Amino acid sequence: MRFKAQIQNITTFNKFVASLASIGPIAWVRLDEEHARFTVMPEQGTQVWAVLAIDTIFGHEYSIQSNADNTINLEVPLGSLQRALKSALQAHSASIRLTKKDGRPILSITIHRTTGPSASLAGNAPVGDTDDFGGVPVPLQWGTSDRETVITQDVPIRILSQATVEGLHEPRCRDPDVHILLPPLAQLKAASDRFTKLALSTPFTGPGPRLELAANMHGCLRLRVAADAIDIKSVWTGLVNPELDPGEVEGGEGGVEGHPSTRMRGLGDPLGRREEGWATVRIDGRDWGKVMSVGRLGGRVIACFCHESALILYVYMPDDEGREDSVLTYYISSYSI
Amino acid sequence: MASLSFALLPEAASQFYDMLSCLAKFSDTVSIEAREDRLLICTLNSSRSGYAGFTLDYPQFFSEYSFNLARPTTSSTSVNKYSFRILNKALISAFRSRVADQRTRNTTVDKWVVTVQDRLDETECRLVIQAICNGGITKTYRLTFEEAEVTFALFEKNEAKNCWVISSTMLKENTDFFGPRAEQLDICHENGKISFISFTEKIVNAKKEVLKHPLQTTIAINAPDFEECEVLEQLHITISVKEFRSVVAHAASLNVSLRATYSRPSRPLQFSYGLNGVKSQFILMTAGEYRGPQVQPTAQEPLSVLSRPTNITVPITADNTMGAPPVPRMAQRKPNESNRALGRVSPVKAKAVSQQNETLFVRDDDEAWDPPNFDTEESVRWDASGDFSQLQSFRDSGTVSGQSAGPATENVDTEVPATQRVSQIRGLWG
Repeated sequence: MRFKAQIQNITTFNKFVASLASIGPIAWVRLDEEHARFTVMPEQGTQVWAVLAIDTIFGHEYSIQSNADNTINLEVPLGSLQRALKSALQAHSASIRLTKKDGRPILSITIHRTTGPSASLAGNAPVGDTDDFGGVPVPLQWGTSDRETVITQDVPIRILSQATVEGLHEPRCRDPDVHILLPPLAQLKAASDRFTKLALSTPFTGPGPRLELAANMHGCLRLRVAADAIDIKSVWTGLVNPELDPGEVEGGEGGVEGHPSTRMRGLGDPLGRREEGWATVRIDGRDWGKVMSVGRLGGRVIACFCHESALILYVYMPDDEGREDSVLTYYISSYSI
Repeated sequence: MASLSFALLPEAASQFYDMLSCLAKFSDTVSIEAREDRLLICTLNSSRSGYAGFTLDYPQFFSEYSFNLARPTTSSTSVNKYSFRILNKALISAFRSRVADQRTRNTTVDKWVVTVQDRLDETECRLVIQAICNGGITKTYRLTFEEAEVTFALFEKNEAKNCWVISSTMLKENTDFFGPRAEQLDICHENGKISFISFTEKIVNAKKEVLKHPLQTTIAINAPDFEECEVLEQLHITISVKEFRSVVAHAASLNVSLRATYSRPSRPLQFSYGLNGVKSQFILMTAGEYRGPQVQPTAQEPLSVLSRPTNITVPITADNTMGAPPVPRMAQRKPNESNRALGRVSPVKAKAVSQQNETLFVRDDDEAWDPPNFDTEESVRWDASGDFSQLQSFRDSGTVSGQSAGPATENVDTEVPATQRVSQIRGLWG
C-alpha cells in the first residue's frame, strides 16, 4: 500500500480541511487514481461528502498503489491534519505520504521552508546592537544564501479495510423543489450568525436555536428566526435559479418537465411577497454556523431545498483553470416544527 | 530589615513584564534576590526540573536603584543580599494594566517605582509598586510577600561540552509549529542537521484512540544555519516542550541569539542569552539517550539545587520522587498570613493567564470563517473536562527508553488554596 503526493495547492487544501474540521473531528478519506474523497459523518448534524479531483490539491507527482484496485481508505483526524497543513502555509514545497512509524500508520507531511536572507542576517546581529527603534540595523549586503528548514508533521491515522467502508453510502434525497445559487456566503454567514445569537438570547422553547431557511424559484432566499419573543427575517432577491441540464436529470427533457422545481416555477413571485412557492427547511443555528465555514473556499454554492425535508449544498471548488471538478456536498436535514 | 527601591522606565517595565510572564510558565511564585548592584528574579518549577532566572543590572536596566541591608552580616564572607518570594500573579497584574496602556495609547505612565517595606514595626511585608503617570496621578499597588531564601539550580559549565547558538527569532518561527498537546522535545544532531522532535508519551490502547494521538513534529535545521554548533552526533536530549517554547518566545521578544549548552541526558541543560543589562538563564533537566558508540546512563534525576549560604537545608542530591520544592523560611511574623498569600493559584485561572500571549500558530484572516462559538460568547459554563494536563509544568520523564518517575504534583493536596480563609483551616494547627 503506497501513497505519495506533492501538495500543489497548500492554501486551498488547508482551507478545505479547515471547512471539514468544523463539521466533525474525523474524516473518512478514500484515495484512488483520479479522486480524493473526504467524508465527515458526525454523530448528529450535517454530513459532508467531498470529491476532489487529484490536481485540485495534489500535483503531478501523485502515486497510489494498493491491492484493492489502487484504492486506499483511511480515517484521518482533521484537527491534526489542519495543524500540520497550517505549518506548510509559508512553505515553498510540501509533500504527503503514507508510512509507518513505530508500527503505527501515519500520514507524514514534509515541509520545506526557506527563511530569507534578511531574516538570517537579523539573527546574526550582535547582541545589543540595535538601532533607536529597537530593531536591527538594515544590512548593506544581503546574506549569501537562504536557510532551509525541513519540518515533518506526522499525523496518526487508521487504515480502513474495504469491508469497513462498504456499508457507507452517500445519502439519497428526493428531487429538490427549489435550487438556487446562494448569495456570497460572507453575507449569509453574517446574517445567520446574528440571527442565531438573537435566538439564543431570547428564551425559547425547544432543543436549540432554529433558523428557517426558504427559497423560491424566482431568485428569492429568506432567512428567518422565530421564537416566542421575536420574529425576524431577511430576504435576498434577484438570485439565480440555475436551469436544469436535461442530460443530468433522469428521464431527460421529460424528466425536467416533471421535475418538482418546474412546478415550483409556476408559483411565487420575484419579490417573495406571496406565501406560496417557497420551499422551507428548519435548521439548527449552531450547525449552520459550522456549515458556513466553507465560505473560506470562496466557491459557488448551489442550495437544493426539499421542502420540509432536507437542504443540500453543493460547493464548487474552482481550480486554476476555472474547472469545477471538485465539489463538497453538505446534507442538512430539516427539523419538523 | 532591609530597604530596597528601584525605578523602571516604560521600556524596562515592559521588559520586566515579559520576564514575569515567562517565569509564570514555570511556577506560580517568583523569588527575588536583591544585591548592591543587581536584582535577580527567578523561579523553580514544582517538580524541580526547571529553573528560570533573570539578572538585572544597575545602571543598565534600572534608572534608579538603592539597596541597604540594615542587618549586620554574620560573617565577613557572606554577601549583602535580601531575598523574598511573591505570588507572580499578583506582581504581574500590577504591571499588566499599565503596560497594556502604554502599548495601546501614548504613554500615560512615566515610571514605576518599586519599594520593599520590611520593618519590624509593620505586621506584614509589603512590596509597593507605584505607577507615576504624567498627569500627576500615582497608582499604588501593595503586595504581600514572604521572606524566603532563593533556590538556585546548579549547572556545571565545564561538563557541558555540547553547545549551539541560534537566532531566537528563527527558532521561534519554527517552534510555532509544534502541536499544542505535544509534551516533550527531543533535540538531536544527525546528518549535519539539528532536529527538534516534539512527541507525547501516551499509551494508546483502544483502536479509536489512535486518532487522538497528538501530532509528532520534526523540525530539522541545517547545522550551518546555527551561529555555533558543536554537538555530539546521535546524542538525544529531551526536555519539556512547554518550557522550551517559553524560553524561545521570550528570547525572540528580545531578538537575541539563544545559546544552549548541555552535557548528556539526565544532566541539566542551560539556555542563556542577554541584552542591555539583562542576563537570562534557564536550567532544565533532561532525559534522553545517547545512540552513538558508547552507552550512557539514561536515568533522570531532579536538578541539584544549591542554596547560597543559609540556614535552610536543601537536598543536594536527589530522590527520584520529584517532590515539593524545599519549604522556605517563613517570614518572621505571622506565618499563617504569608502562607495564605503564597497559596496556589486556581489552575483554571492560571490557564487563562498562560494562554494570553501564546499564539501557537500563524494567524491569518482565514479564522474569520470558523464557526462562531455561541456557547462562550453568550454564556459562561464550567469546564467539566477536568483536563489540566497542559498546566503541568513538566510531564516527566519518560525517557525515550521508557523510564518514568512519580507524579509531579503530589503536593497539591497539602497546600492551602489562595482563597481559603484561615478560619476554615484552623483545625490543622489546633
